[in-house]
Amino acid sequence: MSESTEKKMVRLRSSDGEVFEVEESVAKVAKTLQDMLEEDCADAVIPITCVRAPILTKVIDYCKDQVMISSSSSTTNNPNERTEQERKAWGQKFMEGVDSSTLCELLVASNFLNIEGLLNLGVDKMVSMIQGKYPQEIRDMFNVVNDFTPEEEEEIRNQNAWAFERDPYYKKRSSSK
Amino acid sequence: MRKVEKAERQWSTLPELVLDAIVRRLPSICDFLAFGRVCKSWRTISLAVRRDFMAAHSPYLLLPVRIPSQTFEFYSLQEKRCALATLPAYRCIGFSHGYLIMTTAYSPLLINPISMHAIRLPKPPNTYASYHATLTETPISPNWSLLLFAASSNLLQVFEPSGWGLEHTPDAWELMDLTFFENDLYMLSTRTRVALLRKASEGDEMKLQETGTLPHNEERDILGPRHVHGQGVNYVYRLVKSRSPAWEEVQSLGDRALFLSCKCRSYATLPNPEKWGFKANSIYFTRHNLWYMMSLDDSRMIRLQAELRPGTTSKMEARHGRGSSGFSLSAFKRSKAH
Repeated sequence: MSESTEKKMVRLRSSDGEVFEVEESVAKVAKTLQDMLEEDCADAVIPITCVRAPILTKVIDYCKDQVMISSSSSTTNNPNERTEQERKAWGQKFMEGVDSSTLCELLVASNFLNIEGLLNLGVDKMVSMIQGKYPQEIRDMFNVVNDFTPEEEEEIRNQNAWAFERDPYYKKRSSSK
Repeated sequence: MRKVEKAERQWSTLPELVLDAIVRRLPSICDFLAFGRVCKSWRTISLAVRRDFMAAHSPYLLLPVRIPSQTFEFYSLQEKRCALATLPAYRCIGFSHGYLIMTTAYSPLLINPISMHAIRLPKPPNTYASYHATLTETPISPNWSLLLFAASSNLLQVFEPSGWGLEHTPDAWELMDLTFFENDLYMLSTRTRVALLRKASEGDEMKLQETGTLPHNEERDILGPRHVHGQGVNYVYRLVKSRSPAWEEVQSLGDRALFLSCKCRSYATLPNPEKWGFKANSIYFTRHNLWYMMSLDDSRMIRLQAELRPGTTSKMEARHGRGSSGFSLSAFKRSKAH
């Protein structure tokens, strides 16, 4: 902090009360915060009411990386300076080991803070987790409650009796782990 | 444990925008349907984007059935693999306007395998063991009808929402195939004679009237794919528009690919096949559970790598027996370039 005194700092408070101090440029990766900062309505601590500390840490990691890319790549403020491959690999590494509940909180956070890149990473991760699964497997994985009444379930089951089911061969191959 | 409770609460209240982005990026129709069965809020989202999602996904090919079963296999051009659908009937006697035409105990049953919409029809006056059928319009529209015939009969049974009617072919032709395209009915007889039949006037009941000549309409092509057994070669013929209709071999399919069923009984043309990774001006067909492609550019036949059904043995050959090498009939709008 001391070596970058000329840089303006922003303080963010997570839902569980932890305060994070980050450079303004890092905070501005989040469009929601950028708008607040530009309207100058955030001089004290900005409360991020729906994001817990461990999630906010991850979000800040992402934002810092985005700032690093844009500052290292000439003048443009464009994170796409990395090659497509590098970005993909980085994104995969960033989302590696993210479990389903963390993923959910990350999605909520990136949606609330309006960080498009992070939201895309989360959505892609979620899609890859859902892919090739049956509804009950998806519910188990994400702890989603089946809130259909037995009658509704029956109705959907009847409809889906004619709908496409997965190829069992594909199933075998994809669940080899 | 607290974490789990938290997640539970959050997943079902995930912002609509996020769920919308997720469902749109699901790679296949199977995943899409599974998503919609998870919980109420996910179902609402999936129903809202259903139309867009389906439009963005490739057509399915219905694979030939070897053993009578209610499980049908659909091959996704996009995913290059099969999906299974359990349908409420054993036999599929045709497909038209997005609907499969099936029969249970001689009664036709129309099913859209994607929307699950089904229409059960009463038993036709004449029942045959083997039917073929086509629709004149989508059964959602008010004036649709179903044309039903048995091979080598001279009787065409027409179902309209008011009920069944019977028509006899002109000169007691023996019907081999028919197709309905843009208010015209094309019929093929056993002696490879082709007739065009139309409604007497708009809004009239379907009355068979042989016109004698084919219309000089540059906008459409009538194709007759023909499989020659033993050689394993497929030819495509085009109906020549003249006073006495005749077949001529097609030299080019233009920007379309043709997908043939194993008996050549039916086929589908796909415009702009490059979009799904297939080559234009090519014929795709199955033999021994393998894909083959024949390019009309150089008439070369190539075996494609993808197997249709891993781990199954071929019994498809037996299905070729009936009908020997025969034409089937279909029509499509000709592309502007040709």
